Amino acid sequence: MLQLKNVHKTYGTKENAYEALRGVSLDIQDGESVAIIGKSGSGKSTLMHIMAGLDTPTTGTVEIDGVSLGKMSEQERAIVRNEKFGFVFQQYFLQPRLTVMENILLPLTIRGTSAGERKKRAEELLAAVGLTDKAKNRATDLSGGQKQRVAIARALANSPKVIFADEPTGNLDTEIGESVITLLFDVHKQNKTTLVVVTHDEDLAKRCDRMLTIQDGKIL
Amino acid sequence: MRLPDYIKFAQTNLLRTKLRTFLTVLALFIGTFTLAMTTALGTGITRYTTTQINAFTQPDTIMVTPPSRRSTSSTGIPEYNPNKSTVTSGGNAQLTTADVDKLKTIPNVTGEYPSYSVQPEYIQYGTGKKYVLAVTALRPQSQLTLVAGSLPSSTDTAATVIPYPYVATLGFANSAAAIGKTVTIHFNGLPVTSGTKAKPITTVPSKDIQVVIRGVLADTITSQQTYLAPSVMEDLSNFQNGSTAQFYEIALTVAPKSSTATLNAVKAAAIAKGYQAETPADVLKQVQQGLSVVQTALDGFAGIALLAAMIGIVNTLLMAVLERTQEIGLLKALGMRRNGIFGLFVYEAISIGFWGGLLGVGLGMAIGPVINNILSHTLLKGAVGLKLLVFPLPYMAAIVGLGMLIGFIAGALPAARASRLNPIDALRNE
Ligand SMILES: Nc1ncnc2c1ncn2[C@@H]1O[C@H](COP(=O)(O)OP(=O)(O)OP(=O)(O)O)[C@@H](O)[C@H]1O
Ligand SMILES: [Mg+2]
Repeated sequence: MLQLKNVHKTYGTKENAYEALRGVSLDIQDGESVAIIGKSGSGKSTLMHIMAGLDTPTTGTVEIDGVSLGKMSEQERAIVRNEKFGFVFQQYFLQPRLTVMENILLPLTIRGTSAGERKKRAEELLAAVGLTDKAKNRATDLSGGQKQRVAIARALANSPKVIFADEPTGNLDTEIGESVITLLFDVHKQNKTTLVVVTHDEDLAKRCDRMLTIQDGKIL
Repeated sequence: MRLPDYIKFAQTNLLRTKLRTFLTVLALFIGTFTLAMTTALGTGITRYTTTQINAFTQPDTIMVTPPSRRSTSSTGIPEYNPNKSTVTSGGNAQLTTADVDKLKTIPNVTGEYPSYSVQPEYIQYGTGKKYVLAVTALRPQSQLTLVAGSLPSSTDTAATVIPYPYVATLGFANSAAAIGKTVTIHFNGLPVTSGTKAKPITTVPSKDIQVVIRGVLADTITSQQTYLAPSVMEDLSNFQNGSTAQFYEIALTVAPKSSTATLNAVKAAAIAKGYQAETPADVLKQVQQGLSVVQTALDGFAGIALLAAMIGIVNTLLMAVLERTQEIGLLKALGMRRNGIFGLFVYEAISIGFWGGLLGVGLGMAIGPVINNILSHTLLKGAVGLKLLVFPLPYMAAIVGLGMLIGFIAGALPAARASRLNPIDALRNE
């Protein structure tokens, strides 16, 4: 469902130019879970951002369900991100002023879903990540593990086809990280969601169907 | 995103930085409050002067005055002409009954009412004290504002309309109590000399008229005249001045509700006959032109305040965009489009405009009546019915709307900047 063909990414220009990706080609199947591992600075995040249409490759193509992201307008890419993708980041990126529920519902709010439908979905999502009793709390009042659960619930909000997670346990201690990983894989299995995880964590990588190691902008 | 979401997000974001929001709203409030007050003052004064002018001009009336030798010269100051005396009786060029006959012939003119110069001695109610007064003719179609009673027809020769201050002066409890009461007005005539040349005996004939008070005039600064029927005024003029009566102006009436074209045609005809002539619209226009200059100047001050506030809004939002770069990145990552991000900030700016406008207009409308009340007991005590500050709702709504428009204009630049952020750069921003 996700296809990368000879993707190059160069940051900067002229003497400052740095090639973070040097010809990456890969094919991710529907419902697959893929771990992207590699040393710091090897280009993992860059690769994930390009796959998810958050960034554009310098050369090469990215296709989702056979449609090239590069041929889409910025507006169309935004719609793809909203409807087909879910994101979990190391730094959570929750909106501090909004409540837990409002944070979770952000993708639906952006989409323009009706208030009634949103309320229904909120209950399902809160139950799925075990935060029903925190619904009205401010996002800033939560612990790290709880914040990442909120982020996962938010990633699930629009029932995406792919969830992209960039070091989801990077800021969590082992035990809490473990529970977040369990949640992520439960979701992946139950909803048959494709999962792309960037990680340093060996345990997490081993639980994936496939492991891609990246080094100096190339897949080994 | 849906409109209620935009509005809710805007309010939530504004509450994040309460002090900054408050100060930005305050800056705008100063502008909208000033504008609300200048508008109220302008409206109040315009309404009041319109009433005042209506009290001494009548619709469907053209005021004709003697030709002036000084104005209406496009070739500068005219040369002295020894044959044209600059001294006329009473110091002013005067009109006579001959002029009345001349003006009569103008088409469409339905009546001619010279400003009879009649000097009454006193007015008296019953056996009460005698008070001085000034009298003038009650022309048909007069538009006088009354606080009690009604306008008598101009043929009702036994009727009078008195100015408000006379109610208390003559000893009536209130305006309503004066209606229907008969008062006496005393006039002296031309002295008559009899007897011998060596021993002349001068007698002054006098005359009393009994008139019934039919109406009481609203208190106006310009009009302190007691009105009498035109025919009574003519009789009195003859009694006091004989046939040599002179007038400083003649009112020509046309049929009620005549078109402006008719009025202007009569005016033109009078001017063609060598007189000066003015329609009520001319008078109103002259005064309102003066007022609108004042109003524009006042609005200019409000405009400067609003401009400063606008810069404040731009600044506040630029800061907000910087602070929220990461959030903007996340919203974009989650699929919010450029328009959405633009809308988010623009609604925030419009909200600032809305609150600033509402506060300004709200405070103005709250303290306006208090100021009116204080003034009507102090500075403007005599001017019954004068509201210095008048807040017409459509104007006030327009000021709130203007606040929102200023917000929109001010918000557009920061909002456009936010909408152009690249999601990844924004997310990396730490
Ligand atoms: N905006 C940018 N401008 C210039 N260079 C960049 C930019 N973003 C990333 N890079 C460089 O590209 C390379 C790959 O970065 P990337 O963030 O993909 O690494 P990573 O594998 O995710 O590392 P980590 O494990 O530390 O997160 C790095 O050398 C980084 O310095
Ligand atoms: Mg990274």
